[in-house]
Amino acid sequence: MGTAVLVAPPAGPLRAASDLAYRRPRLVLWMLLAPPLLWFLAFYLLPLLALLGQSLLTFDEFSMTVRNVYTLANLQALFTDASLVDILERTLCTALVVTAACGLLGFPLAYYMARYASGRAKAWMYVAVMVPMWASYIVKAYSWTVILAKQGIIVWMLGALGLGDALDAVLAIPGVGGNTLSTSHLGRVLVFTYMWLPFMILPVQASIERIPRNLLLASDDLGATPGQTFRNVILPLSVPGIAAGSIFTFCLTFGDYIVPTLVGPSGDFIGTAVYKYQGAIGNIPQAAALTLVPIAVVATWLWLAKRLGAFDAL
Amino acid sequence: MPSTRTAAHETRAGNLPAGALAGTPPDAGGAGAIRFAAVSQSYGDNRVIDSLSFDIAAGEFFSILGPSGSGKTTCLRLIAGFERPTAGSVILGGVDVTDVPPYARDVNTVFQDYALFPHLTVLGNVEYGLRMKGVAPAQRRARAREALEMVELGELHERAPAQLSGGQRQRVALARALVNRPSVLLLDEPLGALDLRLREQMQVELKKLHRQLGVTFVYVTHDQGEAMSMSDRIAVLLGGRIDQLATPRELYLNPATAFVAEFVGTSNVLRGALAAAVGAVAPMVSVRPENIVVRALHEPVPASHVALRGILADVQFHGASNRYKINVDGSVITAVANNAAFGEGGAAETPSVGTPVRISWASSSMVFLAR
Amino acid sequence: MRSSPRRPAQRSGASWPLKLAVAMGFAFLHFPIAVIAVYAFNSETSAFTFPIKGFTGKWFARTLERGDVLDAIGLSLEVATLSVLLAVILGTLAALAVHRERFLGRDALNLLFNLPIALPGIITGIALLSAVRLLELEPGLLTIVIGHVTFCVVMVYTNVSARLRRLPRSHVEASMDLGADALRTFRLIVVPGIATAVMAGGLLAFALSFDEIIVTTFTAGSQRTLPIWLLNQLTKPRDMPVTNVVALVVIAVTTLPIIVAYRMAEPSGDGAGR
Repeated sequence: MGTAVLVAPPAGPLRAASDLAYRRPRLVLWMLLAPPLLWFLAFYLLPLLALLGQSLLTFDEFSMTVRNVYTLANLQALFTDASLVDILERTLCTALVVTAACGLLGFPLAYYMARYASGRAKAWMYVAVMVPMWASYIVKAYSWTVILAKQGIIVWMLGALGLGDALDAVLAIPGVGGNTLSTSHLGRVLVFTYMWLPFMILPVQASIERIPRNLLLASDDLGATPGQTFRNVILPLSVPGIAAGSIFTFCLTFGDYIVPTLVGPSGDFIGTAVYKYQGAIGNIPQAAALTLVPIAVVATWLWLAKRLGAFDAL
Repeated sequence: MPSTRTAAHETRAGNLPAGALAGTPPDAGGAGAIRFAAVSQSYGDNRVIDSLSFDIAAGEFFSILGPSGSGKTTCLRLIAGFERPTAGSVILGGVDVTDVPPYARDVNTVFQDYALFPHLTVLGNVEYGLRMKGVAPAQRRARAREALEMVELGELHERAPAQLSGGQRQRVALARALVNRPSVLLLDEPLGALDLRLREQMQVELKKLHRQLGVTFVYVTHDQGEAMSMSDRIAVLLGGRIDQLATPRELYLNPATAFVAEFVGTSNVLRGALAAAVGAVAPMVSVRPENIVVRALHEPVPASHVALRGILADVQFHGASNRYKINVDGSVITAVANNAAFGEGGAAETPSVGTPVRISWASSSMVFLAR
Repeated sequence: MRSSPRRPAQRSGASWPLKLAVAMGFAFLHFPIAVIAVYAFNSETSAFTFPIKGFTGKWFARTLERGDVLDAIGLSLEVATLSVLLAVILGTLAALAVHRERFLGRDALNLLFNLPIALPGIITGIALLSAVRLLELEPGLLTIVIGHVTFCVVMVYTNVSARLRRLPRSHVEASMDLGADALRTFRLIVVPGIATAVMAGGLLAFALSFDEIIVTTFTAGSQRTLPIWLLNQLTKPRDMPVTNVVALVVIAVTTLPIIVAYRMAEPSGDGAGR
């Protein structure tokens, strides 16, 4: 009966361990944290910091070796070296254009899914968005090389519709076109947009869905037309979702180096440049300095997106 | 002091299954006695409980009453062992349990959100504690079913918690705690999520269980009516300190502070010049609305009363009573008059709003407050 | 001010331009996948041409005979399995540690455990390459797995964290209150609560690892996982038919775990006790 204040414990080391955990909760925390933390420090954070530290070292171009002399030359080159600036500009522009394209193309789908679809149709739409999202990246890239090829589908279709000349005209526009569709800026943007479109659709859809119905009713009650309600209520409230989606489209484009090699005009992206520098050339310091750019840019973009409420939308 | 208890013969036949949870007589070995010795609890710079010292007698129904943030739930968690105090000790039945984990204390808790395990059936939930103690399956199943009978949920033992209503879940949580026959039962605002009718029903049932079992109940709530109707003694907590610890009657008739006067029941607390005007020897005076009589100016006032003049600002009809708001020198005083009393020595007529009136009360019925 | 009599707001259906945009959007999303599916059956060898001349299933048989394909698939499976096993352990430990209680540095740790996916793949890749060189490891299965574990942990971590945030603390306290010590409580209450989240995270990590290319190219040395094999195939146009078949199979294999994981992480009728 209730005469004992303490319950007789089953003896054993496990019970003793639990008692110790009660008296020393921090100990448990460290025991849980140690394995993953050590892994991340050893295989991610510390090597990354070591690498970034290398950006301050000198690369001797004559002997093709790295010398232990500190210099800011590699970092300065990011601003002064024309070819590097070129690379940074190209990568940044493409990332921005792709983000805009994904936003424009993805918003109608997200809007429809959030406001007009329900039940089984909606579930199927989810699957229809997730399947291309999770389908193998390299397979998708490969598929586009097939589609955009000179003897491929798009060229054939445009030819059959009599739009062959229109295609040539578009390809002639500098900054947009190229020699062929698969070596044009347009083609590259198209592929990137395809790759990241689902990543834009899902957060925007979630964001729109979260808008309480009674806000729309209130807007209507106060005399707004559907168009006004859309512009003044729905669009502003879907900004967190758009910001969240833009994190993916921007950052993923910014760091990609496979698609630019496969599609688009020649000219490096940051990723390809980093790969080249640390590869055959062995210019680790310059590669490291280049790596700083995506880190800084991504950090800035994340900070901006957080201000717009993206993390609440994820 | 624990209220008088009549254990066995108070139960009705069929209400309490024989041999199940017939309570131990109160104060048996003092096992359910609780002592806080200078207990403080802080989170960083935030001092939630400030050097609390008090005793709870074994077998009493003790309530901790206070507004949110007063530290009352923290007190409960300290007794249960979910938190360890930054200073002081918690003593159960004469044993210092500050370093003893919750699973080793003879204390069980009914949580505010019921905390029923979703992956176990109702029966699985109720027999959990017995399972932990190593009671044999057949025996623990039987005891669990008895406990469910006691809270009148016998037929629902196979259900999953998600299929129950709020009131049913609350009773399962209760059975799950009581089946272990703890010395102390902790209840953390258990009736908050229930509607009014169910809440009142549960209050009666809880009080009945307490009488039957002789277990120390420690009940946390912010609802003073609830605390008053069920408790042997109440500790009123404010800002981590006890403002007053007394029986409900004592708290109501002799509040120690302005906060207690206004929190337990309603009261008018007169301060400053107004307090002086009625002859207060302390900074503040507390007068309960039901003690105040409202009269027209020409009516006589008994000699034992003190009186003030004011303007009648509002009259509210509350069925059994009228509630008056009188403006006295800028302060609003509330008076309540029983409608049945009209024509029998109370005010002869209802004055109209906006007219000057005189309010008075027996000087023996007001309480002087130091803080 | 209402300028004209209006119908009450109705959501009876979308306007036709919207419906058209949606249809085109979905078509765009599935077009390349459909192309692969169709080309896998193309009877011509030079698979770049369009329209399709004829259909055949012979390429499927041919693919099964290819040793390099089977090796690549085998390696990818090996890597994915090992990575997921390690990632599940590390990721669950990390989630349990970070989401128990508040402590100094908690936000920083949360960021760290999300970083491999938050930062572009080249950064993870180059960090790992740097680690491999510092530790003087031979590029091969070990280094590939190390690379994959790092971002697979993120998948498990985010899934288990999200679930832990939804599990009320009172359940753990109730279990301890009823006499179960910390280890028993973990076994009887916490594990059932997070089990499906761990599995969902593991499945997602598996699909991610099977598909991963960017980090792998930095750490693979001469080994070829399936994505690397596919990348190499792009320089071999005459091998296109086999490439198409493999691509189709890869889509099928990676899509299934995703859908299953999605259903697991969002169970309908989840009994959370309230």
